[in-house]
Amino acid sequence: MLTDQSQDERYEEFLQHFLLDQARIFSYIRSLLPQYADAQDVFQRCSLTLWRHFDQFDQQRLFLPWACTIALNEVRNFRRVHGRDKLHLAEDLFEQLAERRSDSLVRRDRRSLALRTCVESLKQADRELVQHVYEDSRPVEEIAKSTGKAMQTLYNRLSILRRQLLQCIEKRIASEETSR
Amino acid sequence: MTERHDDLDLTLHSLFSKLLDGAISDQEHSELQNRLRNNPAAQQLYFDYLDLDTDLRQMSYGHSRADDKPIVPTRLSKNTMTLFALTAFAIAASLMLIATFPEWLRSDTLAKSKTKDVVLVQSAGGRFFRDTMPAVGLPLESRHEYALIAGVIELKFAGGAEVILEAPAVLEIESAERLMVKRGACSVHAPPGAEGFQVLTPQTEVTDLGTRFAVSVSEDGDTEVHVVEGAAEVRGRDPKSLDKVLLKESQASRFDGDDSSAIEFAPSQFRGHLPDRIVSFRIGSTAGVSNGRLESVLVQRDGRPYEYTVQQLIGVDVTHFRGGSNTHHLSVVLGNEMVGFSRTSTLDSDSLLHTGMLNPGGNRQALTHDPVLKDDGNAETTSGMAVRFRKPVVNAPGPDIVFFELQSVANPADGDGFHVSPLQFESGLRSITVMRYDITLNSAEALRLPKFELLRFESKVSSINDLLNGSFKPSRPALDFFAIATAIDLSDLGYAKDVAVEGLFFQDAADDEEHQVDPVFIGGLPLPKEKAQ
Repeated sequence: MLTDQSQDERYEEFLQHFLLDQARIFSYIRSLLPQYADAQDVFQRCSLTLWRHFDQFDQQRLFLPWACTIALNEVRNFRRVHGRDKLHLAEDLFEQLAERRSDSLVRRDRRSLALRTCVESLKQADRELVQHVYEDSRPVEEIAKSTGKAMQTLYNRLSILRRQLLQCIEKRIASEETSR
Repeated sequence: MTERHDDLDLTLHSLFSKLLDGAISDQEHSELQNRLRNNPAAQQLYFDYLDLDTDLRQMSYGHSRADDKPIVPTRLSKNTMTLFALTAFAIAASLMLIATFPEWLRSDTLAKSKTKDVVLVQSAGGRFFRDTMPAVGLPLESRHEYALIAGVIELKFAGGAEVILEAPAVLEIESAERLMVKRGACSVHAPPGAEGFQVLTPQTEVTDLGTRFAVSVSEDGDTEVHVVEGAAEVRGRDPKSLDKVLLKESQASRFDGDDSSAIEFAPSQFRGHLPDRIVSFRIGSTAGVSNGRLESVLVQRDGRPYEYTVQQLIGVDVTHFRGGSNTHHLSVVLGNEMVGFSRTSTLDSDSLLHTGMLNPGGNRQALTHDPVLKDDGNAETTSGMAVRFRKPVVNAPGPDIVFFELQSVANPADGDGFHVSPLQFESGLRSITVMRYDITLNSAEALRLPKFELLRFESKVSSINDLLNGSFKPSRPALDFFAIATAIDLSDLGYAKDVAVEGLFFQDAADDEEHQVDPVFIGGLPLPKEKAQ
């Protein structure tokens, strides 16, 4: 049995790993469960499982791959229970994505930072639309009503904005790389 | 590098956006999956889109909002430790509390999401007035009045209690331990740990003390409580009006506002399970797209669930077919109308739910005598379809036959009505009429079918021979079609238990001019002991 003090130390150690990688773990889960609420659900369960099994974590190894293995199990469990839900990924594709995603997780933080600047550089009306949809979680239907615009117009605009933001992220990262 | 996203075509971008907006159709989702498969560039773009969406949701937009802290911080340092992490730390310091961690987390960080106090466990033809019946496993809203206008449903409360409600009933979920029943009948099972569950009625408050009991509320609010097992305590909502009454096993009481009176205990008031029926079925997929092939079916027989793979079902041969004025009699796999497909296999030997022998003739009145199957020159053969089971189906308790039809969204949601009759009427045997399927277009369990080719015969079909040799014109229905299903109990046709039945006769019920039944798969169930879950 651990003493209270060693237990605290152990938990701090866990948090150090966990805080560093939690955005990537979430990212990993979400690429397998594209519905945000599903990913949140599994992420929460996974966080707890990681802590419960932290004793089994080998300090000589990297935390992220270990965490992703556990996350993948949690996602599989979730898929078993909700197997017939809409937007369920086919098994073969699921396996492909699970494998490929772990490779690109390291790029995650830089892209998030770049996005901040990109959102700030949007035109005001576009920025407001993003804010309504994402920060205020307002349904597009409601925004359409209050702004007097057609829903399809807003969906189209959002689609264009997403592309624009992705291009902006790529550009910023490319320029960071050349300026180095 | 900057061009990477432009290399992939616009459709893919638009599919990703639809996915994020929750506006993607099933068909588009299949297309998306096909485009992602074996395509690393598309997969990377998919990851980028999802990360973008996550970041946009979790970003702070320049002003602080204490109530909506991101779950995952995008900048990672000790100073920006989230509420989540800090509190988790404090909690974990005491391992005693760790078990409550997920609940706490949920309530704090997912305040916006739907409550999961109560989920739908099962539905047998359940239908709400105005509200959509959620899919099995999904939650119902709390503090919202539901009117169950058809069927029977089972709910599970987060506190552990299981409640079966029968239409007509009006209910409102008050909390994970409290249900308001304004009208109708409910049966409550509170397993150990769920004691204390309460059913409120307009006049009473019934508290469970570890038990099974039934509550029914009449139109004028009078309440009857029957305790099958354990005990329950009943008191008036108005504390002055009624003393509390303790009911024990096999006791029952009626409460009419000011008064309570003991009544005769009726165990039949308690419903232990939903009616026997087809609970659900599964169809297969090829490369992530539904291929329409029935894989298995889950049937409740005599109160118990059994799952059968399609190989375990007893197949049929069609031995007679006579159509009516609608000569769209065959549906076949797309592009197959010109090659040598087997016309009879559509219904009998194949398990494809989008191919079948459609629109058999019918009659408003169900048969009361043997159908005429052979044209002997004396009388016209009977409109409809005769099938012979490849192995006799033995009548067991509960359903014995599964029947599937294809139905478009423009057809009657409950399914096309049909009669089922014995091939030979003997004393005690009768026809039955199915007007409402177990799985209807309104059920979350109805499954979408692939597109198919519909063959319209150029002249009326009055025999299997016409069906095999007649000429037809193919067409491709534009609408989406779904597979729906119903179970048939041989006992309902008057067959005694353990009698082996070799075949049956199916007829459209001719209940409306336009729509006739479209059988695509009929199968017999083996005896329960051969495969029990």
